[in-house]
Amino acid sequence: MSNLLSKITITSIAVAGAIVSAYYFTSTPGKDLAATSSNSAIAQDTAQATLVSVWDKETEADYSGTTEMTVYRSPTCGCCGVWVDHAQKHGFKIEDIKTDEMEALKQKHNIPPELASCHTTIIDGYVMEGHIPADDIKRFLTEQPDNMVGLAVPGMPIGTPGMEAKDIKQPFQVLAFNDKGEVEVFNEYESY
Amino acid sequence: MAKLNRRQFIALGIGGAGIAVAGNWLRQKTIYSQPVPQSSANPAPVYQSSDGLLELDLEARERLVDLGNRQASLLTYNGQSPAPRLEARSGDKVRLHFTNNLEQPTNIHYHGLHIPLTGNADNVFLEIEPGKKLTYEFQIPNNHPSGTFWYHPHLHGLVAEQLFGGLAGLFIVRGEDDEIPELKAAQEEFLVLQDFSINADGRRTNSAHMSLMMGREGEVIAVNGRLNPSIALAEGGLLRLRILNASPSRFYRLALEEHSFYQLATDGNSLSEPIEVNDLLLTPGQRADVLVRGDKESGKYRLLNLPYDRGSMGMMGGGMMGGRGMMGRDNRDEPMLLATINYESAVESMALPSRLNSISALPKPHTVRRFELNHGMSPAVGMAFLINGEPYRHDLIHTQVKLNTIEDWELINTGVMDHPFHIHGNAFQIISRNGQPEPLLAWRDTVLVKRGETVRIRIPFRDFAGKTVYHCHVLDHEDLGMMGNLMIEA
Repeated sequence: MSNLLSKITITSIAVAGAIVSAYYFTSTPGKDLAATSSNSAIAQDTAQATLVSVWDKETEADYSGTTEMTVYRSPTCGCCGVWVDHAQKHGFKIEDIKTDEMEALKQKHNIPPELASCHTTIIDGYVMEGHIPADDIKRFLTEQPDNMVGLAVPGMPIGTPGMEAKDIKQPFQVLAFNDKGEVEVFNEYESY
Repeated sequence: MAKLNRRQFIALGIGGAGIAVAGNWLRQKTIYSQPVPQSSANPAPVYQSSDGLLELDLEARERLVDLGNRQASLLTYNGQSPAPRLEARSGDKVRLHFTNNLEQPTNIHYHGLHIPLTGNADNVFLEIEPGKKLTYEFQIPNNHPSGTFWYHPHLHGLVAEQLFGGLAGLFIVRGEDDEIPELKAAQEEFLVLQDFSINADGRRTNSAHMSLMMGREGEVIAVNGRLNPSIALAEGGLLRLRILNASPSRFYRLALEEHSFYQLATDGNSLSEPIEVNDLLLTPGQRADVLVRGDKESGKYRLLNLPYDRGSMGMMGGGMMGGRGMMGRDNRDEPMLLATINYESAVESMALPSRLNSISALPKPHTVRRFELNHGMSPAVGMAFLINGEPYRHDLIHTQVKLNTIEDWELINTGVMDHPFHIHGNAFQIISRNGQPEPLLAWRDTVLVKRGETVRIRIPFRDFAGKTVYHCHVLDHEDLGMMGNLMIEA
């Protein structure tokens, strides 16, 4: 008699335990909390020196064409000046004109709106619109492709000369365009 | 008392425990707010609070959805873009059981809501890893304005991408303004404006080819996830449009053919009385509530997005990069069709409300601060967007203010692009633009600072202390550095 009773007792306790555990595990949904609240300081790697640009490399060493160019830019644009530095590094002599009349200027030079960038460069009567690598300008001026009135890198792709940022290198094209606004791909940079 | 032997006692105990478990399980199931199906221009379900509580499951995941005449793989909350609309009343408790089933970490910002900035509330420093869950929990203060607010991801570096993927939803606070008889009688419609860039195979375009400096824009513009939806307007009646710009960069300059708008609210906050405007400019993040009167000849009228130049220049993709079409070009030249208003059967003529909420001008500030907005080269990161010459850093407090004070912030855009400035946690009033006093007394949380413009705002830091942020709401600018940490000290 006592053996039977203790078997029942043990079984009952086991079942009760199972019910209690079931209650415990089902009663609070969404228990996983893996959010990190980073309200505390995180050391930033500020030891990194000023960026060295991939555009400092020279590929048109034998360039013997015009080096005088006029750059028109808005007085307050934060990236045009950096492109001017790039052009100077590659041997161009810059006449730097800051103007508030950029829109009128682009219209005067018939730059199609979809090819526009922030600054406009005029060299040898050709239009160089935007953050174009200096070596592409040199090659264009050497080759002087038929009917083309200039080159453009539309917009401000991050990673182009004067637009270098630490982790971002957007693929971009250098477009040659004619006076009708028709374009041809003059150079393409998928990676650099 | 009847004598219980041991066997009976144990059997009763187990039976009782079993009933307790079953009862608890059933109680859990019914406590969540149930979605209410909607009709008309807005087919997405709505979750409304009941008995002072709004509680629901929210899941972020990628899903193939219908977008116009095709399918697109969008980032969704609960399988929808825009996400289900949430509605609560002031004083309600909100409990959101969030699961991140994206492939990136994420979090949620409750844009415009005046709620705690720390803990599991409007805390943009939370980072929820893929596969993980977090329960957001906060109470909407008792005196919270009733209006149009919204929710979207806010993990720095991924904000533009995740919003552009489709993660955005309305958060409506119901209250006094909804009880104004003319507003109650009007037909209410919500318009969530989004743009997407989708390839031929239904996948979202890679951001490598987008104009990150200008801020990414998409060629597909949707209203409530649909192309050119129809909105009914009763002849003689009133249509209450509650509009949200949920695009990461695109501005919308809205106009309705032959009808003016009677603006009721800015950024979720009611004006003191309706103001008539011919067109409405909304920057990313901004909301506007307007009334449209059905007082014209019965027919169809187009809701248009008029051209507006925000300083865009040759948006990348002008005919190149795989020919994604003239992104952004449209906004410069031609109006775009967003939706069509259709007059329907006449009702008894409805009048505009004469008064809405009362707004008092804020008292004089304790402090004035300057914030200069531009982009430029920064030593450690290269080209970035800057506030006062500095890009964002996680580990700095850029601005420190005291709770229960009022400050004037002078926002000076020295750059070549428009920047809409947004501050988390507290709404503000515009004092002046370029030195000219602002004629309209209104509360906003996102203000446009045009290129070359100086805007002075007055902001009270109320109720909640903690660390939060302010930033440009062209979200690529924010992700690329135009943000600062704001510490509100008790």
